[in-house]
Amino acid sequence: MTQAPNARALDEHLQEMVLALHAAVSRAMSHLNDDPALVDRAIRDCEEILDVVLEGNVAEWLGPAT
Amino acid sequence: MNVVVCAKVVPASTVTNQIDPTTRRLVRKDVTQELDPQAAKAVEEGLRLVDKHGGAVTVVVMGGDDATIGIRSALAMGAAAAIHLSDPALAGSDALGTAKALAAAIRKEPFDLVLCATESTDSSTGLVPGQLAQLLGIPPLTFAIALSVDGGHVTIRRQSEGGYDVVSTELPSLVTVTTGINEPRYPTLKGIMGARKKEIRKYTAANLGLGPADVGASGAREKVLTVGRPPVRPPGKIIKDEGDGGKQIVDFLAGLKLV
Repeated sequence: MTQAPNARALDEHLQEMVLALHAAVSRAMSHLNDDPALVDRAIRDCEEILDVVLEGNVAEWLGPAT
Repeated sequence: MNVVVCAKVVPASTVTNQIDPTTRRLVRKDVTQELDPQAAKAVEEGLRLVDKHGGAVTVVVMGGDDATIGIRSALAMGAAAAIHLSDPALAGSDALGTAKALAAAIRKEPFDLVLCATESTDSSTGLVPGQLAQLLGIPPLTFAIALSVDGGHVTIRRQSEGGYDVVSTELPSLVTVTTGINEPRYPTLKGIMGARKKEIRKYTAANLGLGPADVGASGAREKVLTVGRPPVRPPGKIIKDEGDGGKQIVDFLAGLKLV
């Protein structure tokens, strides 16, 4: 197995993703009963992040910003 | 309008805070960090203002290398740029030292409004905003539960015990925001990816013209003498309702002279 080229950058990127998921879920949970549109949007935002994580294209995450 | 938000990066809410018994400081090394939830509200308020009036939000954070994660969160929310005050010489600064460093960095920026949380969630001194306003020579408006800008003036609803006061001042000024002012947006994937293109400028104490007499442990006039846990609270009383629960509760409250 080849080691990731920059473990710290990878850690930080994944942590950013997890914090964003956590924030989206927290926001949705607090509006379960009063704002279904917000809940739907939060679910879509989480799905978008999880799709990218599951795709696992680490080189793209850590490559130069375009 | 140019809004500068002073933010702090703190141990994540999932972390149990530990105090180093020797330094009496919060242990931050190797602890998961996040943008202070209180600071996120100041960022959100800044973003709402520039959404309405145009301009940009710049976030200023003082902290170690681990603070990057919180800075990126603020950028992912929509801040245009960030300034990171990162230097071992700044470690151990008291509230005034922190205010001096923030003021020196903010003076390098064009700004109309400085936004701060009323207090940080980790140290909760609430001292920095007032000191910062004094150092910048601008009026502070505190405890804002609502905020609006009209022309050259900023107006807030200032939270008070009985309700709120409406207060206004000319720009440039500094406003501290309370917990209830808004619900911050969360970073989306687009925001996270976009944040990577945004500028994070780094300053050291020397870059800011500050020396050991101003900042860091050597410049701190405020010392933490002891750190202790609050006294253990006596256990609560459980009342079982066996037909006389109401009477028992009334008797209990009467014993406390509450009824």
